[in-house]
Amino acid sequence: MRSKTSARSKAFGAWACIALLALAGGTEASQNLPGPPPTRSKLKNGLEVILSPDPALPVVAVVVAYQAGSVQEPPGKTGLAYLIERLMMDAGTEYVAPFQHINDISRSGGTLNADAYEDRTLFYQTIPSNQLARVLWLESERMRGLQITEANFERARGLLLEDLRRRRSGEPYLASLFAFDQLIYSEFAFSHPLLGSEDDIRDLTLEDVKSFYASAYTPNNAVLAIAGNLNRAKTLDFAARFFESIPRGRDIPPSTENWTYGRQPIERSFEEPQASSPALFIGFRIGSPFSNDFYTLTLLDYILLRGRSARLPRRLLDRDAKIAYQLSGGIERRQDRAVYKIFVTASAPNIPACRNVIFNELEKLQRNFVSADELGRAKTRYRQNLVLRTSSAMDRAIHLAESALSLRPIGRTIDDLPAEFAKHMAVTDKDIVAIVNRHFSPETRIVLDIRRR
Amino acid sequence: MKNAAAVLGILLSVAGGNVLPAQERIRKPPPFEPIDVLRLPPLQSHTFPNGLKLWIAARDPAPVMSLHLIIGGGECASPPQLPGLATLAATVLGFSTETRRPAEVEEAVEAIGGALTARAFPDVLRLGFHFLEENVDDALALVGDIILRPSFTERAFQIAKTTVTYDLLEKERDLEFAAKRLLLRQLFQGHPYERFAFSRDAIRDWTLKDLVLFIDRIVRPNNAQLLLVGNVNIDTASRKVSHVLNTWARRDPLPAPVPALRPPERDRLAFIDVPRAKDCAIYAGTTLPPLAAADSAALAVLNQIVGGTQYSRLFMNLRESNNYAYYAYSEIETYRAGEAFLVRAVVTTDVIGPAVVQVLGEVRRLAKEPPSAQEVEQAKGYLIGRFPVSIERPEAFSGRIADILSSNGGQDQWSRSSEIVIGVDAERTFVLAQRILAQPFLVVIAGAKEACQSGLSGFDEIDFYDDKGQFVSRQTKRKES
Repeated sequence: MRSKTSARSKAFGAWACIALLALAGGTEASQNLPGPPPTRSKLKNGLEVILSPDPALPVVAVVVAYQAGSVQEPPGKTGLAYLIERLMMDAGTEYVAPFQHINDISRSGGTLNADAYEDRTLFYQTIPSNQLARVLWLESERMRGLQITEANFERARGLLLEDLRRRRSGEPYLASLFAFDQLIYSEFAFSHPLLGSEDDIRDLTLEDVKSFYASAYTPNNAVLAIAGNLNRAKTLDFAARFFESIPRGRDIPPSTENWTYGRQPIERSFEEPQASSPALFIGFRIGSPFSNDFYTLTLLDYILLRGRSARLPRRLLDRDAKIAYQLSGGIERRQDRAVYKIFVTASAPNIPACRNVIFNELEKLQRNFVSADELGRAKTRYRQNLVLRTSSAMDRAIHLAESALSLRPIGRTIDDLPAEFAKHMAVTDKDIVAIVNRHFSPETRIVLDIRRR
Repeated sequence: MKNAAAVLGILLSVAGGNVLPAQERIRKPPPFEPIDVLRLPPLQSHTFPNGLKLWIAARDPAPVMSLHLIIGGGECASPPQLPGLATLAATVLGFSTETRRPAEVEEAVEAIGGALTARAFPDVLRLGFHFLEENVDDALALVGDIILRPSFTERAFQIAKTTVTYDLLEKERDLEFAAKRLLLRQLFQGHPYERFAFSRDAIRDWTLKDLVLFIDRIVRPNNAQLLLVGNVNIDTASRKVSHVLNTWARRDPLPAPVPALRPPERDRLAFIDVPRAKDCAIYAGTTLPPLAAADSAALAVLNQIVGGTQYSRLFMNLRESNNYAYYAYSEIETYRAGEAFLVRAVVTTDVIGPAVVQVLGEVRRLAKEPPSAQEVEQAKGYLIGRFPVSIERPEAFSGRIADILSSNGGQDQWSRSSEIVIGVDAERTFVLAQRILAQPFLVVIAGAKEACQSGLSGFDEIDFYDDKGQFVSRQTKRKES
């Protein structure tokens, strides 16, 4: 009952609005980042170490990001990534008692958490800076040799099943989100839920868990990012001392294949037992997130959905003529697949109007150039978001770790972040029209019409 | 930003050697290094001829700035017959101006990368604005527009009323909210803060005219403080603020200061019947007049020992030892008129009686037995370590200062808070605990009466309320002679 893990994007509401190439720090932004620019190095076992010093406050953030998530789960073994996230928080190692990691950090005034996603899992903490060596040691311990026993596995399994039951009964639209993922992703690896299925979780064995842990939670499949009040040389020394003797794992080849999918519209309906009102899921497959389209897509996201002055909130949630109850969505990426999702709830009579507004705005974007003002506002919002995402040691460490993992498959590193930012700033009105015509046409749309049972 | 001189012995402790070569596994945790106790630069201030007070706090080098306009007279300044009016004012402020329609305000905010919020507190009304530092002039211009040229239309008023109604409806689903609202109502009975705990019934009495009069009465420069946080100095900031707000005319009179809070007169137990509730929320508390900075620090230590975290006494007792509660914490709320020491817990229905007994017993224990020196040092270590972690984000950094200014806190509470905590010892903590925790406490339970009835039979007197917070009946236990 004491686990502090809270999967940020485990299911519904889990819009991983992070386009690969939207992970930029940026030319302008990096000039404004607190402290000296980040540096990166690699230990002998392949662990990438990123340091971002900032002496403003006596705190430091430590993030370990693994390229491990539900996309690596084989059929019949779903729930493994989520289960291991929980075990990493609670179980000990040969030298670390169960819950010691949580206790040490919490008692010193620090904060910690973990997030599992479909294609990555992050463990992170912010601590008073005098605790850095201890936290690096604790992180190295759970990377080196998590003690997975029958007892803690059964406990974690029980908690996972309880969590799944609670969310299934308490979260409206969870079942329809799962159904929509089946439609939009189609392949098992990408479409099955991170939460796993009850049957699969019950059938998991201790060996399954140990084997998944051994295969994915390895130094060469991870990034260690440390930001805040740190001394570079000393911190690198700590990293080497605690992590370098951890054996390298097997190399997981980067997956950058082109996603081929049909161009016929798909339209289905779904009866949602938990729904408080009717809803719509609308989605578009964008294909590979490793293309130049992503700079434009990121800006399009701001024009369409992000902020109160974006087009869809303005038309659907206007205070004077509110059509919808709620609206969310954005870019979602699962390894080398990317989609754009829009979710809207409304009264039954207003659902067709919501649908018309969404398609009408997309049609307008297909035909007309956005104004310089609107594009400028989108770029400002994008830049502000980046600034906020790097304005604390924790945010900066997470940002750098996620960027490093995301850029790895295409042979880029965080050194390329300024150039990535510049590419976003260079997006033009013509690029927007082109991408909407390429990816948001009626032939590629996928719609799930959610009705109350 | 920090004082390297003061080093915490308590955090130096523990653990063995760490001088093994790189390729060997380190079996013991490395020792802690000395921690520099955080000392922040003092706030700078400037008062303009119209009475507006400007505060500046340096925070570099993040390219984000924060602005807080703190207007004295929050919910405590709502007319007694119109509680909640300050909350309505916060909802409508910034909606539109004479020169900008609602959509144009939203566009202006987003064009400068900003986020604008407004909220009413018991003491103040606060407008908060976070934006990219290069847009400081545009941000000030927008705030100037909102303050000097506000527009309150009937349409905006109706939308704001609906927003407040739905917001309350949403909150009322939460047992803890229901329990806390009734507790505050009782703790603040007869005090202007009572208006902060208003219910939905109050909303129907509000009119647009009331709203305009209220805003006109409190939004005055000599009743306001403007806080700017970021990479800016006092001279530049004064010039920029003056450029925008120099026509804001000083006016009197101002809302009257609120009287100091007093402790409750006797212990009382109230129960809100929420028929289908599966669990019970317990909220207990007491109030006291304002404290000096050193006593505030001792109160923070005391709170840490009683229930500040999951390692504190309440959590360990109610959850870990007795398995009564999902969680149990204590917290301090600081106002201009004093402090409220509150305890909150969510427990299973079947143990409601023993859980209330344990809550009060655990609180009172510290008034009877002094804490150990180790317990006090652990609490101090947590507070000192936690402070910089808790102000790491720009909005948290500026929000903390705004909280201090809102409650008329002093400079030391910001720049020397960790140093003051270091000075707290077990004796001071115990003296304060004897004074505060032995006071009468009010307890409110929200849960299903029918399911809790047997667990409540041990209490002498219980006031029952319905789920709207209206008094229903008093149950008194007949005393045996």
